[in-house]
Amino acid sequence: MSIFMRNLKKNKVIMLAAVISISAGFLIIFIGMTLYRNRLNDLGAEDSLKYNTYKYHYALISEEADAPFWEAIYEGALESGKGREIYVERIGSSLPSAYPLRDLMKMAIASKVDGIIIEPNGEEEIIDLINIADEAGIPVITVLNDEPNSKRKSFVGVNSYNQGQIYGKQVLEVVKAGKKNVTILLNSDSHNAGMNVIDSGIREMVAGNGVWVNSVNVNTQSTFSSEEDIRNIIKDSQNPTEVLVCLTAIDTRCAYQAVVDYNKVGVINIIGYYDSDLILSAIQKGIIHSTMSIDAKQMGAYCVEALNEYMETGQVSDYFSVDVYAINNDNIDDYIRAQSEGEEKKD
Amino acid sequence: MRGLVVIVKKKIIQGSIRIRLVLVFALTTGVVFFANMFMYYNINKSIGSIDEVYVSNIGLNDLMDSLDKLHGYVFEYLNTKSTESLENYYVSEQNYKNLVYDLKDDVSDNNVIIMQKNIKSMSETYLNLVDMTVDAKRGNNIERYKANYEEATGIYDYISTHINTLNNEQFKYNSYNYELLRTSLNYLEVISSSVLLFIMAFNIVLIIIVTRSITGPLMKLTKTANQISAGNFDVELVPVKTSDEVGIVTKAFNTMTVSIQQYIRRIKESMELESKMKERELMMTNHLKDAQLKYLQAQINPHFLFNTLNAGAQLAMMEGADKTCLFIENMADFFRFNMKSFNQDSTLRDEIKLVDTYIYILNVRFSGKINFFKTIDESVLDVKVPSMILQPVVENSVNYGIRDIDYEGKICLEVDRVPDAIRIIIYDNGAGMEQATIDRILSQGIKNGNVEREVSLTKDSNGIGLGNVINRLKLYYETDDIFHIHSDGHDKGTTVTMLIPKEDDTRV
Repeated sequence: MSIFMRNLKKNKVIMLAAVISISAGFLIIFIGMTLYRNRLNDLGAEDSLKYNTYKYHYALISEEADAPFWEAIYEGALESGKGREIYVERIGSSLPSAYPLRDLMKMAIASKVDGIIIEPNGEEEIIDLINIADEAGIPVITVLNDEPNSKRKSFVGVNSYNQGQIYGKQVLEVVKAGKKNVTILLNSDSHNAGMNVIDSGIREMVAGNGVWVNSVNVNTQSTFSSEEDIRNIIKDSQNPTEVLVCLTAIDTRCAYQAVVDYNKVGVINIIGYYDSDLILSAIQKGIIHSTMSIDAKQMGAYCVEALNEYMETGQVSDYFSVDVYAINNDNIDDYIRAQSEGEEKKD
Repeated sequence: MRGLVVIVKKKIIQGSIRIRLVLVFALTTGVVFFANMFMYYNINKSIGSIDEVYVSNIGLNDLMDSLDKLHGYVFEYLNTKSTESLENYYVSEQNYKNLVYDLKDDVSDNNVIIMQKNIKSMSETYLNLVDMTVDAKRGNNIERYKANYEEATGIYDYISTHINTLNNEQFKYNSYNYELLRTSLNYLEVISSSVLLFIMAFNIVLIIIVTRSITGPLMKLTKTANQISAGNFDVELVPVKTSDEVGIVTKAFNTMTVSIQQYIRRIKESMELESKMKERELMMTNHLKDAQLKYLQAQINPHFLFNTLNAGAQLAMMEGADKTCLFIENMADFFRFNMKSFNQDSTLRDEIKLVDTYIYILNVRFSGKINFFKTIDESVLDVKVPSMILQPVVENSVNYGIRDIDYEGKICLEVDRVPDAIRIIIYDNGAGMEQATIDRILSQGIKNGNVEREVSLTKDSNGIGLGNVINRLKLYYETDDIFHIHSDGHDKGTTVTMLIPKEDDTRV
């Protein structure tokens, strides 16, 4: 081999080393860059900017928008809307202070939403606002509580009479165990006809069993007054209550906590409302006798469907009924199993 | 351009160290530069995102300010109905409209965006209401403008709340993003550092390879140079693998090595030549010596005498003169020995016999006047010696020692062994010698290749003097320490000691 050839070979080795190390350098830079990108993606810096856009904007208005029951309604509405290019917003939920229902309604109207789902609280002003919204071309649907005198397009709710009957059956079960003194918690100054219908349904059901039924108005005018009122009822030793019938989810939780706090478990039987996890576990423990379960998701979905139907056809059925059933110690296991199966399916 | 590329390529292939080093450093710094670019690009990107975070908040603050101003001017106009405030109202209304126009109006499940949409819609309602209010004021419709203003103020409150909330939300979101960015900057730090570290490692490997390619041949060169400096000139040539600077040095070194080897070979050759010449010179000297020896030996030619004496002995026998016959036979022996033994080495036995013969002849001549005693170690009789070494010494003792003395002369010959030598002592109790004479005799040898002729040949001599004996002994045994003369002074006699080196067996 000539010197020149050897030379060439040696230099080739050096050149090869240079080329390899430089390409390795670039490779390392490239790997580093990819790694960095991946890290950023893992952190979700870009994900947070991703969102879906929809065609229609519905507003869901309720004073108790953050309660679990309403959460479920909202969830049902949102899911139902997703397939129809509809986004349902809980008006006021992200605002720092809690606004009264009328303000939320005004906001929804000013925001020019495409439809409003509202749980009226019986105030006259709400009727006016519903009418104003309707005039502005925004269809309104009432949920849970009806406002039949307004220009609302439809009502999605429970048949209160049926609900009263079911409550009554549960009360009777307790009465058979020897309890006599029944207290029904109503919301004071409620112009809400529904509660009265439930109340009378219960009374009708238990009549003739020697039961003394007492309806108490729980003050809802100031923010925490209902909780105080419920505690006062439970503390009352002169006129001791043996069965406590709660018509709202919040009242049920308050009653549950008070019974536990005052050590009245077994003394006072609670018939509650709604199927939150807490209430279900309380039933399993025997602190709450039974509870009403409304398919809240179904309710939310009905609302969106009704609005959508109105938007598409210009008319909609006046009333959508949602099923109510009682959960007690006998069927709670089945219920929980069915619920968890449903969630698994959803996942 | 093309030519330049070709030149650079050629240079790279030729592999000048300078080019190689420049190339390596340029490449490594280039890669490090790219790594830095990568870092700066990402850092700038992150900082850009942080900037974006605050831009959105600043935009919302502007919106809020504009809304405040608008509402203030409306109030001012309603309050004063001044033209100025009306103008201000129109300007701020336009301004607010422009700001609101930039808001998103998508229906979206993202809270920030749906709020923007709500703000936009509410602002439109608000602007509408305000417009109606101002119109009512201009038309002096007091009841209407008051109601409208109240309503507008309500919506103004909602919008403010919404903007503030949105601002808050966005700030929360931005803070979260900021956290993410901080985290990502941390990641960036780690990744960039590792990238730099990796590149550094690769660069170091590259530099090691290149510097090895440079220092490797240098090390070989150094090793060989060290060998040469240690005196080993028979080194192998360092192989030239590159044509760079080291290659050139190596080539020069190889040339030097070859030159040195050639030079050394030449010196060796000339030295050999010189030594050969010296050898020849020495040989010539030897031949000369030989010739001198031959010449010395040729001084005595006994053939004629020997033949004559044999004839005389036969004559004496025929005449019945026995004593004469014996004498002549001894004479004949003496001369025959001379004739024979000059050509080759003799033994001590023959030498001693010759002395006996000589003494017999002298005693016949001088009627038994010479007393001769000898003590001989029989074991050394067969030792080979140069011929004619004893008789001249004995003759010397007779002629200069005991010839002219008044008392009875005596000559002794002793041969015995001493360590490493055979000692021969010839002693006489004659006239003795002066030290000056001894020195003269001993120093009489081969001087400058010339032999001093022994002019003082006396009668009764066979022609061989002490000088001859000494010289022959010295030449034969190649040593000066062989012949000693000792005398205590006048009439104290003379002792001659010869130390014949004990010879190796082959000579015995």
